[in-house]
Amino acid sequence: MDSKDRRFQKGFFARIRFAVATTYPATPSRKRLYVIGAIAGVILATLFVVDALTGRATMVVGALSDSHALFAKDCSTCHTPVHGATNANCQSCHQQSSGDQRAYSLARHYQYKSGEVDRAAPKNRQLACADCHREHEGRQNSLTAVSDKTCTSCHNVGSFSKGHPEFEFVEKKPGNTAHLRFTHIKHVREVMAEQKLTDAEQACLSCHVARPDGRVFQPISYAKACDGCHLPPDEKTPFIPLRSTNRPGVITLADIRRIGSPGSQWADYWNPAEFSEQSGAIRKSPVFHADPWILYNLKRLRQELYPTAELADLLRSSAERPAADAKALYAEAITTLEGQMVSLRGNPSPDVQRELEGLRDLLAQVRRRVDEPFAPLDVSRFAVTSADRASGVDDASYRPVIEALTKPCQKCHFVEQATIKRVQSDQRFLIRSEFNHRAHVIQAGCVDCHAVIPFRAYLGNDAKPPAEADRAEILNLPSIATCRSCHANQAAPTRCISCHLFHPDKSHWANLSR
Amino acid sequence: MACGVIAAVSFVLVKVVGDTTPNSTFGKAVGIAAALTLLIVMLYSARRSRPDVRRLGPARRYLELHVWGGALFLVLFLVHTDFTMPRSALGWALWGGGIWVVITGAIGSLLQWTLPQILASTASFDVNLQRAPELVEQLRVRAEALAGAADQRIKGYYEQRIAPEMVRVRQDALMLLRNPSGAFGGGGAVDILRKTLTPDNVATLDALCDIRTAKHQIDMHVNVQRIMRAWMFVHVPVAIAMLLVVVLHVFFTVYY
Repeated sequence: MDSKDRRFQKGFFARIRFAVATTYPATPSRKRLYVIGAIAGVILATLFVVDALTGRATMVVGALSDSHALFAKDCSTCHTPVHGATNANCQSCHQQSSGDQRAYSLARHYQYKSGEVDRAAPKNRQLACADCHREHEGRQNSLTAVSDKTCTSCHNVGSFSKGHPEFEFVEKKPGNTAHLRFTHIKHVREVMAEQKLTDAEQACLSCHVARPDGRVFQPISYAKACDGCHLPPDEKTPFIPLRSTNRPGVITLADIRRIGSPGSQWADYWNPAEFSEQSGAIRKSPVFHADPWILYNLKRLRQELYPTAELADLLRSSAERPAADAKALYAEAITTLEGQMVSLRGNPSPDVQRELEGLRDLLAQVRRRVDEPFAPLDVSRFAVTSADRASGVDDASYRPVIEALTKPCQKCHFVEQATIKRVQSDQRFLIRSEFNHRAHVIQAGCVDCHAVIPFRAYLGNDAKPPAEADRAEILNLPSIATCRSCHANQAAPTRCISCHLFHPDKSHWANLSR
Repeated sequence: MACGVIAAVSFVLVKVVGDTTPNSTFGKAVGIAAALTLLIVMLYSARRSRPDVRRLGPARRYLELHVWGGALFLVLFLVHTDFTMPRSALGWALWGGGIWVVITGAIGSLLQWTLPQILASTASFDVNLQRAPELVEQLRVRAEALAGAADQRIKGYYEQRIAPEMVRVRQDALMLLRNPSGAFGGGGAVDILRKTLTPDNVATLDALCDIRTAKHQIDMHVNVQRIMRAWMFVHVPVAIAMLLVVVLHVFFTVYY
């Protein structure tokens, strides 16, 4: 008989008879199981409730971090029943934590280094402090060590190793944003030869001077970096035609003194020996950087060509500057106006003095407005546009004058619309991340990362680099691949907060822009 | 299972686009779903406690809900924790309890599935656990009577080989694996003995062998039931305790 058949018969017990029990023993109650479970649950729950009521609550939610450990005995310091750990409670100590314009607010994160002070954070993404700064994760937990996951919940960029977009300046190739005619290799060669340097990186540091904290570099200064070689004492302009009733031209130092217009006070103490006249034309030698005579005449020529671009006259060069730097343009314009007011102080006319008083009040108001951290500023107000062009003026007759006047300048600068283009002397492109040169220079030399311009191939020999390999348009900044050569898995850090900050620096409003 | 797949897919989607921490909107929604699943899973226990109310439907349906709901609870529970380890005693109680209940539940399902198969292939009867000692005693008395009236060789064989096993229920969970059929009476000493006996004595020896096989099957039933009972103590009280802790967890979460 196989086993399958045996299942369907009673077997041995079909043949034998047992005495039938009069009463079956009682089936054990399932209640016993429930009671055991309930007792265990009540004991556990009691432990946790007592832990919470005695104010420790470490068994319930975990220990507080070191910085908040003192509040462990009073949950209500941070928690409001039903509403949780609210921003208002954080604000009782961290005063900049709440309010739309506070440094720690989400609105500030949206505006961070954008320069767009009226940029609003979307209402559906408002965050509580506790959403990112997770408490109750142990005494050693760092509240500021926000996980990448928190960042990528809004910024869908994956990780630094995979998915992080290429740097904007690499992808978009912004062109000659420096607005300068400049070749790196030639300059490095000359600096190395002049200072008898053997290391190219020492030549880099002769112009790129680190700020005191070593993180980034000071703006390149003409006086410190260029003056040693450029505009020597024998530098001169070509002979430039003097202005007459029927042709455009420049005006002499004597004429400038005679007119005495606002901002021409410099002319009173300028050396007439620097000028030489020859048959209706004038030459200046030497030529200085930001030479006031050249700039004054250039302004006059621009006023004739673009009569309505009045605000452009308050700047020494064009208004091309990132929106985030608008404050700097306004500050320069105010300084110019103040200088012009100083030159009018000597005027004895009571009307002029009364006007000056009014202007001083107006300027104070303007300065206060510009200093407001969230005042929207429009840099386009300073720009010279085609709409400002005077009708009936022959541009062709002005062009040779402007070219001759700015010839010494155009060795390095560009001139457009009778305006010298503004040099971006402090070119920071990684504006939304924090890069510390001091920390990196230990790992690698300058040209290890800044290798777009082929320094190594052309230093130590006389070979001339092709023009396309060394131009001012080449930013010579590394791509993200260069960073990833070290910042990869299991090597240098790859967390979001390694480079990016969520909050602007709370100590200074300027950090909201750049 | 479909719900589990849906939860896993939604988790992957949210992983790509958003925050999945327990305190996030997604995390809270999954936590609520897990708590509700836990309550639904426990309907099986309620159904078992009221077998007399037929309109509640067959208990088997509740058992299926219990098993698959438990699997869904595990998925929702892990998604709710964001696949991270807890950092507090309450967290550990919930995490440990949840994992324990699900794992013991899975083991219980496995036992419920395999043990009856092992028994069904061999056993020909069911045994009430409480009556097992009584049944064993009756078998022993019957075997003693048969052996007492049998040939001296059968009696000697009984005293040496069978009598020691007839004394009490043998408590050995591993016997299910060693000899599930409990077949006794073929091969070895019994065959040699059988060849030397007259036909009447052979019938007596076979009856003794049948009694011994029946005793073995009672032992198997008892051990199976002991295993299942022990499993109940491992699974049910922890689940009840965890339910209370979950209630406390929900309260703390809402209040704070």
